[in-house]
Amino acid sequence: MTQVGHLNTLVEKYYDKGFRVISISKEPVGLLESKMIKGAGAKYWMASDPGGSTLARYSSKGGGIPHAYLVDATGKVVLDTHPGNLADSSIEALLDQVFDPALDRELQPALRGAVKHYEKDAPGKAWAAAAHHLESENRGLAADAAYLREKAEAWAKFRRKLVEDGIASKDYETVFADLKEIPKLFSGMEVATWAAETRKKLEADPAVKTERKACKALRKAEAREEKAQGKAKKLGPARSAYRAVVKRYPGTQAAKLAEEALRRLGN
Amino acid sequence: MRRILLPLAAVAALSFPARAGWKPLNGRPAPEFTAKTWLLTGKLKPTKASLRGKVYLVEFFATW
Repeated sequence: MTQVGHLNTLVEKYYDKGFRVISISKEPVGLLESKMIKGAGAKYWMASDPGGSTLARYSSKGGGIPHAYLVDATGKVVLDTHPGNLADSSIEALLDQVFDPALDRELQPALRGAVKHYEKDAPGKAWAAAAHHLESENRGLAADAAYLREKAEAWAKFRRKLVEDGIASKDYETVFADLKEIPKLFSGMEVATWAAETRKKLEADPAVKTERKACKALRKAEAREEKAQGKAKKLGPARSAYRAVVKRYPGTQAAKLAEEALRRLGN
Repeated sequence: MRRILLPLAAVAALSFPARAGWKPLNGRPAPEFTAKTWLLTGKLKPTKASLRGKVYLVEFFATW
């Protein structure tokens, strides 16, 4: 449990910049509360996963605990290590790519509602609410309203960039999740229309359809691998499913990952 | 692109070899995480989608 202090420090230092820790254990919730929170003073997000389903997605079998995966803003794993070895510089390098939603000053009370929306991850509502004060005779209020809208627009630009990067790398699973979420988050803003149009366009693209089907088949293969829990005798169905992805969807990203999985499992 | 690749290279340089028993996931989309009970998250039930655009650490541990 020596990593508790280290992780507490990282969360306290980087939370406002968009860093989170998700700490998962198979142990019962009561034990986590008494030993980790009350006992060791952990201040980061913690979860009890007695079924071990999340563990199975990350671990093959017999992986030493504790272990951690660092995930970047695009949702990709960039590092796996012992949590105690996680350096500030690793996090800072990734946070440089992230939009920092923090407001760098206190805004005028008339914008309280807009700020509340903004802080509750509803930048679209904040953007719309702030619009009412743009023409205010109170110059400070008008400037604060413009500032809040600029922050919401920068946030939207960042999310759009993530989608564009996802399209470039053919990570359609994430792209479609984003395109579904963006119109809700940024309702009323230009990016919401862009997301809806992009989604329609991608849905009609045959190459994208194939990639998505391949990805779905890959996920099924992965689920079979998880079910086997690293037991060699039970890996047959997973291997068959990975082979099917390679055969049915040649040239797709999923086929490449299925080939990798087959190499890892020893064909 | 250069702006994104450089920090990633810095992170890769600081990385440690994959430990036995853990899937080598570097460069791949992080798997989803689910749990029966969440602590210290308020009403929030974090998911991969809810953390989009954020940097996060998924840690597996035991209290023993």
